[in-house]
Amino acid sequence: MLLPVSRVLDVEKPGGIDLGQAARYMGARRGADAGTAALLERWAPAVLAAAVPRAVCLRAGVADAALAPLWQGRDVRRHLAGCAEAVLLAVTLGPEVDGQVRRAGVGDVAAQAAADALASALTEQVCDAAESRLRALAAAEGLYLTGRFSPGYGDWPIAVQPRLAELLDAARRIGLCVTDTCLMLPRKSVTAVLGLSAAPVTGARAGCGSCALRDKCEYRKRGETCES
Amino acid sequence: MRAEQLLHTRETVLLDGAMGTMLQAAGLPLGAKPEALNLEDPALIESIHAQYAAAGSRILCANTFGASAHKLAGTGYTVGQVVAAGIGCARRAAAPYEALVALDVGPLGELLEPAGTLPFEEAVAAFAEIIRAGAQAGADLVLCETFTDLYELKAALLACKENCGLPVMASMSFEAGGRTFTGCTVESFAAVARGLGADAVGINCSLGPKEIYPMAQALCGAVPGGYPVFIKPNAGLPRADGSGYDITSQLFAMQMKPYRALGLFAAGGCCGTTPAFIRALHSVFDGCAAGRAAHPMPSVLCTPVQCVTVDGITVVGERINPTGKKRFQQAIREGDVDYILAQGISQAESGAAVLDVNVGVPGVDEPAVMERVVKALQSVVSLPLQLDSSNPAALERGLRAYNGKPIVNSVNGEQAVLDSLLPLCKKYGAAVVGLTLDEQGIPKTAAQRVAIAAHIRDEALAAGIPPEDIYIDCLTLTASAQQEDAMTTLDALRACKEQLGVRTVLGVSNISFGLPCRPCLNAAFLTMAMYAGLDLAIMNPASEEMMGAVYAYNVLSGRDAQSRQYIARYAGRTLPAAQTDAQPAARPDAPAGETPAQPDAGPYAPLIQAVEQGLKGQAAARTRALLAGRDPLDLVDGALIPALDAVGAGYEKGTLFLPQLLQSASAAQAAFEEIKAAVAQNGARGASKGKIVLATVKGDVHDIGKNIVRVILENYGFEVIDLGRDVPPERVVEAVRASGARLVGLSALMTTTLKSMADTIAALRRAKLDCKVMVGGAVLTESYALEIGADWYAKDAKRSADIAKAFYGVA
Repeated sequence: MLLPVSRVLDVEKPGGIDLGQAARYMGARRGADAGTAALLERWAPAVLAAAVPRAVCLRAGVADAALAPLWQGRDVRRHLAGCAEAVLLAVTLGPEVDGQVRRAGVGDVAAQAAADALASALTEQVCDAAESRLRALAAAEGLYLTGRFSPGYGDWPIAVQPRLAELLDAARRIGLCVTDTCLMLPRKSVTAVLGLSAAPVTGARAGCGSCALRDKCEYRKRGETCES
Repeated sequence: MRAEQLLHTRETVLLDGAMGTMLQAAGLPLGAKPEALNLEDPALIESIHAQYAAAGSRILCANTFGASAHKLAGTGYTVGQVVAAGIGCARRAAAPYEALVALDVGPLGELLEPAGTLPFEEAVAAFAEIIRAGAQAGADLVLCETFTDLYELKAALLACKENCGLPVMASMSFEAGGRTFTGCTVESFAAVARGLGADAVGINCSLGPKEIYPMAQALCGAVPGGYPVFIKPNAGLPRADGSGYDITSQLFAMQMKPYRALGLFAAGGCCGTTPAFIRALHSVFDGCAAGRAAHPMPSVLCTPVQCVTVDGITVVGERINPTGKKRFQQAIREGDVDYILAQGISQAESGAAVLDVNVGVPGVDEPAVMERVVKALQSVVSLPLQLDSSNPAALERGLRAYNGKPIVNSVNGEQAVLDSLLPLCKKYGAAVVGLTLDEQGIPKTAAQRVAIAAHIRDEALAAGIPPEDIYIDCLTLTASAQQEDAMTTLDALRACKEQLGVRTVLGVSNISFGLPCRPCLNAAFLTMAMYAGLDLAIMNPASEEMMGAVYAYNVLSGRDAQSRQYIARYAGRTLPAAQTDAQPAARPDAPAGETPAQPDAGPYAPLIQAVEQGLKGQAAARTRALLAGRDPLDLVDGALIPALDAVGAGYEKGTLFLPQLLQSASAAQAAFEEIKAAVAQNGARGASKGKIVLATVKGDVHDIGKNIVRVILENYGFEVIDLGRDVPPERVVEAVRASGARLVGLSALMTTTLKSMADTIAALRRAKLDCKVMVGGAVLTESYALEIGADWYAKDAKRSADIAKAFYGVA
């Protein structure tokens, strides 16, 4: 008897936060100036200490009826092309990081923005750690994984968040809830899908073509992309 | 068996095992709602209950775990339908065995404030709906289980107590580290659940029997010996391939054997367990006596993440109190919560273990302010709070909103006060301070004060407050006016401690009022009081002399073993100068940025430079220096605005970026705080350049952008009414109407919340208020902004300030 249940994935807390990425999230260009760097260094230990990274995943057939409501739009289907199975993933830094960002912001708006950017950078690092763990698990079975694809990429609507969280039993497994407006709480959380295939796959990045921020993206205006 | 008898059972009773696991085995598809089956396939649900009853379960948990309105959304069923049908299924299966039926109540599936958006009272109402339905359908008891947020459990327990008379069992799920997802400890859970009137406490889900055991031991240690404890572990841990759980029923039973030593009142299983697991528990718990030997109970105050055991001197920070502080009074009148939070944070950093919270200012709505401040403080500091008021309504609002186990300051020997406040302390599970005074005032002799203390203690015990939660304050009088009373206070304190077995508390600093060099007297009196048996010292934790006395006392009394804490604090340190009226600690300045100061700014040049370079500490210091002999508001026009304009211009030209803009805003914020303090001291009201209502719209929790806008607008001298995040349209309308603001700023970050922005603008237009609206947020565009009826699209904080300046005609 196979009972598909979502499973908590062990993720180690990174030893430090990627300050360069945090500076970028904070809005610095061409690297952080001395003041910004000092601000980020001042708050990084507190944000890191407050984080309790948790991840949960679920492996299921792409064609499983339970997953059908997820496949809205063109981009996510393209990403999963050629994959018989999908791995759903949710990652969170936990509620205390949100508390730390609030604490940093009392009387100091720059500190709040810095703490928030640091938490975002850390979230990304934890996602990378979870993904490489999944990649190792897949490789052990001789399978291949695409990259992560999250609601909000391209035309994949964030309206699928409640269903993703439900399938992952995310509230119970890692304390991650989704609001009626499809926002995730704790705030520093990510959901994603990765395609799983017997043949090498890379997935298809959404690109800017169908991005919701297409018309006003600061990166695009400068001829860059958010991945550069 | 009746439910009330069950809780006094002499032998361990068996609960049931998992419902979800059985349903999945019966073919429930992934992601389906199990509770819908109460109506769609009642025979299946009943048959699962029947299997558990046949296996020996004597408490059957109805299939109502996820029966909240939020979780049932989209199923087409109401809470009442699902609960009634669920209780019915369990009741039919229970009847042949005379088993009891528990209404099973799980988390709502939404995160409560401050981590989430669900307001506490809405959570109480959502639980109340489930509980009323369960009681009406004939449940024998209520089981609240799998909670990970202590605040949500508080909402559920209050809803139980306020809506039914059934016994209630409360259980949380902990991770291997001994905390829940939200950081709640076993000790905090025990203190709060017991305080709120849970009839039994337990641990379920997340882990297997082996992993839960040490936490179960801790739980038993945190409640009295006769208090019922129960456990429902998972069938081990989920298997790596996702195919269920990793231990068999035999292994489960083996791992449950050590639990016999804990005198459980009930045991069962959670995820992955089946009737076979319950059957296997039979031999384990056969003839196992429920209950444990009595043991002394510690005095505990807590928040979910921090449990303070009051066993010897404990520092209570006194600074959140407006008495004699003009800037504090102004902050309360103006709803400037950030100022109060800064006081809380700095006291926590100075080493306070508990924070006293007093917000009583004539003319303000103290109950509303108390609730607001308690919630705001708890969103940024994790220390337990002492709610300090003589207003019963304010105390009740604070007690209800508080997350954890607080202490109430205070009751006294007056019968009317005892009668009104003790029931509140009991209902909300709070510890209580009793002042040794009564209708006749403060007695002259120690013996008379002890007599009042004895009366307070007896009344508290009669109200159901446990002895370890009773604290007596023998009252510090000022030595300058009543010199002989100092010793009377200490004599009374010692007698209360020795004769009445209560904890003691003193507001220490009052001793030195009216005399010079107050820290000397304070520290000496504190030392004498500690020797007499003082537990809670209400004092200024920034006072180096007093903190030194505490650390030294702990060495000399042997409490600080091998002087470890003393050495950690003082190694390599000489005593700095006294700091008795500390401002919130200034954060160290970052190195200078690249902006040049403006030429010809006269005396303001250094301040302008500090703001432009984003140097917080220097901005505050230079502002203090400039304030001498000047109208504080001249500094806004002469320094802050020109500096911010220059930084804004650099940002627009692309020579400066957002981080520098933010650091300048923070520096200006620090300068502004000094200006506000000066204005408060002069008794003048700050001249406002115009009122602006700001809000992050309903459904959106991303408020950092809005916070940046607020600070920049405030730095330009606008009066900002910040409604926070997740703000419904009607609150925006109400705030505009009440304040008369003519400009509104709305923020929304997500595509899903743009609709709330449109709704809010529509509501403002419908209300025919004379106001303009500017909007901003990541996914918003100029064309969409105009389409939904906004007057301006502000692409960033700088633009918001430009709009506000132009609108209010500020040069």
